[in-house]
Parts: sequence; C-alpha cells; structure tokens
Amino acid sequence: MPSPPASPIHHLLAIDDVSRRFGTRTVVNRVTLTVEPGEIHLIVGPNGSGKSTLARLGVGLLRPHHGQVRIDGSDPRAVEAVRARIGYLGHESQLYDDLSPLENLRFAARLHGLDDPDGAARTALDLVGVPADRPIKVRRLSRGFVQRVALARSLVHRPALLVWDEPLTGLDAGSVGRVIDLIAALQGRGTAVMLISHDLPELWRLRAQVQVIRDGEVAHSSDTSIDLRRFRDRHGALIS
Amino acid sequence: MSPFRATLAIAAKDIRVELASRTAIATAVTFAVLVLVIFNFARDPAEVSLAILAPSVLWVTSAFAGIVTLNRSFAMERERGAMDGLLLAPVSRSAIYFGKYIANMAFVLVVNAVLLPLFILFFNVSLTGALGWIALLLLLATAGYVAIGTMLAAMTVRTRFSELMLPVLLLSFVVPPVLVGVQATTRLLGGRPLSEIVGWVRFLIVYDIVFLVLSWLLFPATMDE
Repeated sequence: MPSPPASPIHHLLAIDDVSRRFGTRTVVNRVTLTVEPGEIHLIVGPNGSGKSTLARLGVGLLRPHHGQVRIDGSDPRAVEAVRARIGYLGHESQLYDDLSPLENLRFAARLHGLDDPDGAARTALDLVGVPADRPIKVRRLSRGFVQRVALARSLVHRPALLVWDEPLTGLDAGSVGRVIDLIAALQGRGTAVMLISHDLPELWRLRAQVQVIRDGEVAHSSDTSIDLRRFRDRHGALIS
Repeated sequence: MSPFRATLAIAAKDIRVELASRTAIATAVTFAVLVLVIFNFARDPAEVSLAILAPSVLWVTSAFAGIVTLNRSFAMERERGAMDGLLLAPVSRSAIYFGKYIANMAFVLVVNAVLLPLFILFFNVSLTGALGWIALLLLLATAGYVAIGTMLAAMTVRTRFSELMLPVLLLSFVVPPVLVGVQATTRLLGGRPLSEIVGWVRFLIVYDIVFLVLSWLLFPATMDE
C-alpha cells in the first residue's frame, strides 16, 4: 500500500533566493536563509550592506523583486494570521509620542487581538524593566527608555519570530545585559531571533549562527562558538 | 482579530492620540475661526450681500478646515515609524482604512460642530428650519471628501512635502461637494422649497458611495512599499 504523501516541511522563516532593488541598485542579491524555532541568527556587515533591507524583506514590509519569503509556509504580505508570528523592531520605535508606554503597548496588544491587552502590555514592559504605571508620554522619555519600550512593543504578543534591527542602540550597560539575558531566555523558550547589530562583543555571549552580509549577499556563515577575536581577524574586512 | 474590532481599535487609538495632543482639531478650529473673522470684517455690507457670501464662506471654511485635519491622520503614523506596527499587525488593510476613516470623520465633524454656531454668530443668519438640512449636507459632503482624503493622506505621507501634496491633490475632489453645498445652502437660506435641494442631496449620497468604495479598493496599494 503506497504511503501518503509527506506534508511539506515549513520553516519558521524561509528567505528563498530573495533580491530587492532600489532604482537600479540591487541592495539584497539572491539571499537564501532559513530560521527555525529556538535559533538566533546574527546578521552582521558594514553600513549599507543590505542588512536592514533584508530584515524588512524577512518580515514582509518590503516586497522582493525576486524570490520569496515564507513564514510557516505562508507569505506574510498576503496572510494576515502569519503576521501575528512576527515581532519586528526596526530603526524606529513604532511608538506614538503622545501616548504613554502602557497605552502604546495596550494598542499593540489590541491590534493582535489579545484577550487581556492590559496584562500583556504590563508583562512586556516588565520584561524590559520599564515601570508600567508611569503616566509619562513617550515624547518625554530618554532615548534608552524609548528603545526599551520599543523592544517591549515587539514582544507584547509573544511572537515566535523576533526580528530586531540594532536592538541595543541607546541602551546603557545594565540594559544591554538585561536584553542579552532576555534574548537567551526567549531562545530557551523556542523563540527564533534574527538580530542585526554591530555590537558583536555583547551579542557574542549568545549561542547564535552568524551571517556576514556584504554588498547584499551572504559573504560568509559562521557561529558564535568560535572566538570573536579570531572571527574579527578572519572577517574584519567584511564587517567593517 | 475581527476586522470590525481592528477598525474600532485603530479609530480609538487615533482619537486617544488626538485627545492627548489636541493638534489636528485645535489647528482646524483656529483656522476656521480666523477665516470667519476675516470674511466677516473684510466684507463691505453695502457692496456684498450676506445671502450670497454666507453659504460660500461656510463651505469653503468647512472644507479647508477638514483638509487641515486630514493632514495629521497619517503624519502620526510616519513619526517614529508607527506605520510598520500597523502593517505588521494581523489586520486587513481595509481595517486600517476604515479605522482611519472613522477617526477622521469624527475630527472633521467636531470641527464642523464648532464652525456652525460660530458661522451663525458671525454672519447673523437665521437657520430656523434649515439647520437640520445644512447639518445633513455638511455630514454628507464630509463623508465623501474624508473618504478620498484618508486614502490620499496615506498616499502622500511618504512623499516629500506631504503637507503640501495632500491639499493640492484633495482640492480637486472637494470642489464638487463644496459647489453642491453652496448651491443647496443658498436655496435653504433663501427659503426656497426643499424639493429644490433633494437633487443635491442625492448627488452627495452618490458621491459618498463612489469615493468610499474607490478609496477602500485603492487603499491597500498606497500601503505597498
């Protein structure tokens, strides 16, 4: 008796042969990358190498000109439900200046249809060490506080995949340590994390795969098990 | 999440932001008051008849104040990249459009609600019997141009000089309801029979349906980067 056809294997995130141009300039060129639950992918490379564009392609904010992006086998641009799997933080905080951190996160939780927006918002703010009951507008917060609230916003709906572009920007040393611990804890719970950062010494503490991007292509793949100094000696020309 | 709940969540957020900042409504009301004051004192009563001037002033002020309000609608999403958060939420583009539309309608209607008594005060017009009809005309005209204005605000927000682009693009769509509104209001203030304005009301209803449907269908394309 013939066996039933095997169901297709869906990666949590599959970036398949993806390219993206701006005008005549190809910013991301035929990149293929898969991310599975519990994996951390550290994307490094010099300024203008296409890292942030790759992140925006990966979450569906940008349409690829070639190739395809799938999250759990579905196109995040077409399937609304799949977008609930993504937590994204780009260069901007996605916050409303005239609302408090708690109000901002409550709104994000409502958009994701959570049953208890207030509870979810308070939990997320607690994760990044921001007091929930401070009735202060975002516009009055310091750069570091805004960044912490922005990180919390991307976590409020407990996404399966986090895509964070320069998450440590503006954070003090204590907050950096807290965020690194948080990423490690999320990894332990099976959350996949795609990190774009230049803060290699801090992030090298994590158990992560490393993709070096240069001129829109994956120039090298490695992981954080090798010594950072050795990595820099070998790929210094690629990452700076 | 149901599209209805998402729509309400987005509208409620916009209203909350406006209540906290009082940017759009305060600017539009200030603008409306200034226009009324200028027209009231610049008019030579012996030369320009109030019956001719008043309807035009009401409708032009209402339309321009509405445009001032719409400018803010997507600007708040551009600041700090909040639009990314909306686009990545598991909600349809239609929910975003209608959430914005409801909030914009609320803002423009508040501005009109402030404008109408000031108009009566400044121009000393008697709206007995006509007030309900003028309010209905304002509501219908607002529903149409806010529909297209919401879509155009989304389209222009990513352009340079978006604050200038929106009025320029929207004005051509505002002309038909303003002309209709002026014609109908002139007849109402002149004590003409209601049968003379029924056609204008029908026109505004058709205008609303056409531009609401068209804007709803085109809106997702404005979100594509």
